[in-house]
Amino acid sequence: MISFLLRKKAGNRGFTIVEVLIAIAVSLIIVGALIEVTFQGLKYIRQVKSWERLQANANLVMDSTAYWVKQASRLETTGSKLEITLPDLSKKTIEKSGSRINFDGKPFTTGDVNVTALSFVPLAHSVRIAFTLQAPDTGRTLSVTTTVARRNDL
Amino acid sequence: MVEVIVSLTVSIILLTTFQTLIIQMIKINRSSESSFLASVYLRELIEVAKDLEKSDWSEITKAECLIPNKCYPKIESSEWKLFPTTTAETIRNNGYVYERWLSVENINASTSKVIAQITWKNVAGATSSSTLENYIYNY
Repeated sequence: MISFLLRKKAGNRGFTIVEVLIAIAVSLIIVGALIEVTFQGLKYIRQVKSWERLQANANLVMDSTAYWVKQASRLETTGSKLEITLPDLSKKTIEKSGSRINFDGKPFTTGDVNVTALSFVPLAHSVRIAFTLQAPDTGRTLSVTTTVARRNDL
Repeated sequence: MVEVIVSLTVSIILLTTFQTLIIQMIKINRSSESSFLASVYLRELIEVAKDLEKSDWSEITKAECLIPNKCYPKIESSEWKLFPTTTAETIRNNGYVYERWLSVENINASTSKVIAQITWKNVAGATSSSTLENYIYNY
């Protein structure tokens, strides 16, 4: 039986069943590896994209907070709310609302990033800011703790 | 037989190329992540110095923090304080370990230069470092 499967008839240029089976097995291995590598690649592309979103939002929060805190004549904090009093006595507020950070009541961070924590610690001439952002699609998080000092003497 | 070898070679080249691209992408992403956090921690040292510039000039210009001495910042009783260190402050975040410190150089009676430095290990295990300098004024 086996010799029948391996034997080629004289003048027959076709493949034996064993050759076909080996070719199918090798093809399956290659296709499997391609699928695995492709899925891994897509997974990492999603991770990189979510990191870009997290970093962009973190920069937005830090830069905007720093912009107003540096001009502040007074800073008041209550948990996840920062109230900045400017030299003309007008006020700006930065606070956590749901899964977003609001600036003067309007959403500040983008909807594709969740804010899981935000806190402010008032210090002598600065404020310490800590926040955690999470990308809902990948679960990736970014925790940032930084300080911004006031620049005026009022 | 030749066709099989050619198709196998092409498939292996494709697989290897794609995998190399993915590995490079991961490395660049990890490097971007560690550099971003290092930049945040480094800038915080300058902000601490700017706080002390206004709130406690003697704290920032004390002898323990003057070059070549190193200090690290810590919050005590809602104020930034500087503590001498022979090594550096260690911060851990997302699997990375950062070490940071600051030194102060007196330029004249009312001006000092703050030198902040941070070091961290990148993806390849090599140590990266970054330095910022800023002037503070006692007026």
